[in-house]
Amino acid sequence: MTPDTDELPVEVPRPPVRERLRTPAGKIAAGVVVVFVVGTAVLLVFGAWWPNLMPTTASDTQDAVKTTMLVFAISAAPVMALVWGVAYYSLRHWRRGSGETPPEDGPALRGNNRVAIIWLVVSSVLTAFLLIWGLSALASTTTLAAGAKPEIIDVTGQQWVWSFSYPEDGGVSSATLVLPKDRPVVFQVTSTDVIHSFWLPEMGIKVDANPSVTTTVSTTPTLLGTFNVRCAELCGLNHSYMQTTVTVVSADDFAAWVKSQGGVPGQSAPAGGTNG
Amino acid sequence: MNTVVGAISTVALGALTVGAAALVLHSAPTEPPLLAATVTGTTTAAIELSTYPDSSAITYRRTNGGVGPHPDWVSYGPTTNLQVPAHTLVTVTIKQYDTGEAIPNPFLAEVHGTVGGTMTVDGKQVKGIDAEHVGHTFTIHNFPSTKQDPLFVSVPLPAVADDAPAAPGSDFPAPHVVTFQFMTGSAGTYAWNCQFPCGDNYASMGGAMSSYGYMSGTLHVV
Amino acid sequence: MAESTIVRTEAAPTSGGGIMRRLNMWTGIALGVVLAAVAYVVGNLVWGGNDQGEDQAVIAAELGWVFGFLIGVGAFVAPVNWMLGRDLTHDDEMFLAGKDQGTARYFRFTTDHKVVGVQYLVLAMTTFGVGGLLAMMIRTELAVPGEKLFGGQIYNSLVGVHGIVMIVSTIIMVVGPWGNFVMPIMIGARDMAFPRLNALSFWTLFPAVPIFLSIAVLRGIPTGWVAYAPLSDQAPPGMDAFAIAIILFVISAGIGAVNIIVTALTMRARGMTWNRTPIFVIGVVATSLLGLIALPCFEVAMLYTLLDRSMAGSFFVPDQGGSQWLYANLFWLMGHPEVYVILIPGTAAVLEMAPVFARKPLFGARLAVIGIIALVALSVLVWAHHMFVSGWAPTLAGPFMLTTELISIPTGLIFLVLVGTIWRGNIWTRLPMLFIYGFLWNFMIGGVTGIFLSDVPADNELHGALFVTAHFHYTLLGGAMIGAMGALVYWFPKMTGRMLNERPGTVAFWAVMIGFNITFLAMFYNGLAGMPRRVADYPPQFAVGNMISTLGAYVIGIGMLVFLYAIVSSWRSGKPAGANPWHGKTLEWFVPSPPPLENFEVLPVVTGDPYGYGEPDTRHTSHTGVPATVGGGTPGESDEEVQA
Repeated sequence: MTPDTDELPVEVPRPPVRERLRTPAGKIAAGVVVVFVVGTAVLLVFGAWWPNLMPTTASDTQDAVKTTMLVFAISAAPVMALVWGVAYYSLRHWRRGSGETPPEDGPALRGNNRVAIIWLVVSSVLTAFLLIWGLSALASTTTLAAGAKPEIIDVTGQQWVWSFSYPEDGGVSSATLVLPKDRPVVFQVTSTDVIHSFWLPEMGIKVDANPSVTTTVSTTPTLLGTFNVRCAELCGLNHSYMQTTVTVVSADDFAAWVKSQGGVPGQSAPAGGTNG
Repeated sequence: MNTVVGAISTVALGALTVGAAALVLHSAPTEPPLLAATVTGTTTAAIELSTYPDSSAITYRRTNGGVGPHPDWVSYGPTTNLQVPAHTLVTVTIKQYDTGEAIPNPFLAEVHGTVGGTMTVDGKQVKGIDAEHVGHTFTIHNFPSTKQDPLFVSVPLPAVADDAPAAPGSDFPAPHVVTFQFMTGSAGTYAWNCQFPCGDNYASMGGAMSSYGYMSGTLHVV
Repeated sequence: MAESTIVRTEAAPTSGGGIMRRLNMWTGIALGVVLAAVAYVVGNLVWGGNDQGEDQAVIAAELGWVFGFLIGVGAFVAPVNWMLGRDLTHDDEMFLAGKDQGTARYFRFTTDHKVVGVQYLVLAMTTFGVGGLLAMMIRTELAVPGEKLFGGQIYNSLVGVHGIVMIVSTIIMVVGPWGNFVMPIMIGARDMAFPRLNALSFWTLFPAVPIFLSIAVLRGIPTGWVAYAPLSDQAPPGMDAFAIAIILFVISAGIGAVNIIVTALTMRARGMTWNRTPIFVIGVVATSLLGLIALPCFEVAMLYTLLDRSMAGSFFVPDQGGSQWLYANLFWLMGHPEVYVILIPGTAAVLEMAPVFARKPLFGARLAVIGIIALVALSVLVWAHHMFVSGWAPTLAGPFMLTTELISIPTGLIFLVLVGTIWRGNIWTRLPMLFIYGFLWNFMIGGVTGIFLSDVPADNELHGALFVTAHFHYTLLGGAMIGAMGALVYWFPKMTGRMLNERPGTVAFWAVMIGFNITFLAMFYNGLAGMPRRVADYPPQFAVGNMISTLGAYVIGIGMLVFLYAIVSSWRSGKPAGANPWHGKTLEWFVPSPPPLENFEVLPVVTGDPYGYGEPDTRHTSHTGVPATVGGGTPGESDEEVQA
């Protein structure tokens, strides 16, 4: 069948953007874009700033944690801005009052497959990105830095006090933690009674102290100073007070401290040493 | 107008309920009486405590002829609410009347935080005791805070023999007498407790070990 | 008049009818207290010398209370009569349904789903009030550093009981009142599939509330609401009360869940295919399925805890061959799905209200269904993200991070549907719409902060600190609870026949929203800065954040109290509402407010979905509440559409 020449569709060139923006649909689109951009900018600024609320970075692990918080916040900013922006814009543009009777019905928009697919694809890509970032951060924070032999410290939590012993330094034991800077440290954590949680907030590490099991966590301190050791799992009456200090000192000061506690730096404790 | 009155009344009633509940809970446990250290010099003070195998010797618990809600719980006496002066060398004497066992964490069978790192047990100066025969400990918690100085003191108290007979004129056997000294810093409030599992239930840390006024208390440095 | 002889084959009404008519909540309480006292005395006599004697006696007392109460409230009258061969007569059944009894029917074992719905509403509000009271006390203690008000022992109990009472309250908050009251009418049924089980599910939960309160006199609990072993093994007898109350709650929830699922599956009106079923029904059914699978893990964990505590069991005691990780896994296998059990009904209610107040169809309704189903499926696969720092199975950190991050995709679908419904709608800014916007704001923050926690290295820093607490309060209180409050305002006219006074309601909304955001944004700050959770005292650098949180909490309290006032005063003397004050399209708006005993004069026939706003040819039903005037069909059935 040959088509009638009269029936041929006439090509209508798309009007220029500025003219499209003046149509009602164009104005709405422009409005939403403005709200979205402003919202994203505000949230980006907030997201870039908020890792500063976290404790001082005193280890490489904490550094990775703060970077992760930053990246996730930046990734979340446009999503939040989009949802909140559209909701806000709708309220401003299509609010019809709070009368006794409802306004007339709106357009019967049951769905939009294109929007749904774009949404699903974008959220999946974003999720995949966050996942890959997280997996690589997990790998890097659980692998010990190559190089210096790690300092091994036994941590015992019990209701309601932490005690530390240094099996590789002649069996020194202490109620406060002292660490050498820039040397990886492996904590072997256990409990004599209930579940506690060994947490160094400035170093971004935490692992539960379980009875009859030894759990391990490691990091490398990168900042001199005195920081906190806190219990992060409710363990009874004085859980609030199950806190002590961790002091990061230079390698020389650390050796001096070990000697002052009656130990020998670098020497394994004799069998059946002071740690339980 | 009615709406406003009604709403405000509801809020007021709610606030009263919260206040009443808080007051009831606040006054529910008997607050142990305060024991202030005896000042023995310009920068020295002394305080005396005992650890008992049950609560019969704790006088403030005896109300209306009874012996308190848990007569069989181990307890520090005469109280667990202690007050010592700041920047002072405090001498603590503890009479330990109770039996004991092995302590799970040998760290706490050593003396920490005292002057010279030692204590005196029945006249003999030691740095620690046999981890197999610990009765209780006296441990002050260091609470890292910008408002008060660190203070960590932990002293083990040796156990009385299981078969020790009661001393004449007393319900309890002859105690071990432990003396130690520590320096207080600036004013602050510290939690202290016994770190030897001498309570009930799992890990022997329930019962007396998990209740204020028996084996845990507060140290006010003023 | 001719005498006709009728051979009666059924049994005549019996004395069972007499007992049944005399039993109610008060006789239940009386018998429960008596049996509890007897059990306690006997228990002490028999077991007083044991090591676990105190726990055994307490457990006996609590069980005495439960059985005494259930017997005394009349839960077993019908089964016992059936065993004795005496079936209930029609009059008995109508009595059980609460016919012609006025308000007395709310205090008895009444089978009418509308009565059960009201009972659940009052119970949910009461438990929320108790939880809120405890929250006020927690926040007052935390206002300034130092243990000024309560010692650690009482404080830990406050935290633990606040947690569990709020969990129970928010689980039943939407499904209890509205799943029971509205859902059967929404699907065009006269009652639920199992009316007596419906009453039983409520009256099984009722005795759990005094048991939770009895924790206060049993020396409290030292654990949080998670009741981790082995700390739970060390605890005073309050832990036994906690465990029994949970077991009761899970039994009640299981019965209720089965009822909801069977009702929605089998009793939808003619013509109501799944595509024409309101999203609220789908949400409630999905929730019930999830709860049915997940909650029993908690029940089992509590049962084993009781055995460990009272019979020297060793399920969770490590040095006797047990494992604390067994407890943690059992608990979180429940614990994660459980938060979706709380979230999905509130979300489904918001999705149900959005079309009504935007006057637009639900945008991408199938996406909402997919989202809900995906949430249910994924939520059973993510539990170990609560255990990232426990040291259990470090090699599973990656897989659980994957599943947890995947869950953000169906959650995102819900946002798409909600925002898509509002977009280009004609927005009717009545009070329920405010709650929809509040939900959008709060749940977005809650969801995004959850993504931070799903990342394992970040969780290593944030776990056990207040960031987690703020996150779940944003999703559960800010999301699900705001949705629940909106649902209450929305369905209040249907339940009570009166409109909720929107002036105090709006004041309450703003107070709750503003107070809530102040409280928990400050809590995010403190959590990021390193303050642990469940602590009674803290170093001074957290003081400012805590004071702000406390003041915000007081504002929430004021808002909730104003809301309570609005509810109570509107219930008593609010503006009378017609059948359809919101001009909605779902079936419950086609019956009077409040509905008569059997809901519909004539069962409706469904011809379309209930979201046909702007579509003149889509009708959910042509049923208008007017009985058939044409002589077709027997009463109670309708074969033909009734023309308006």
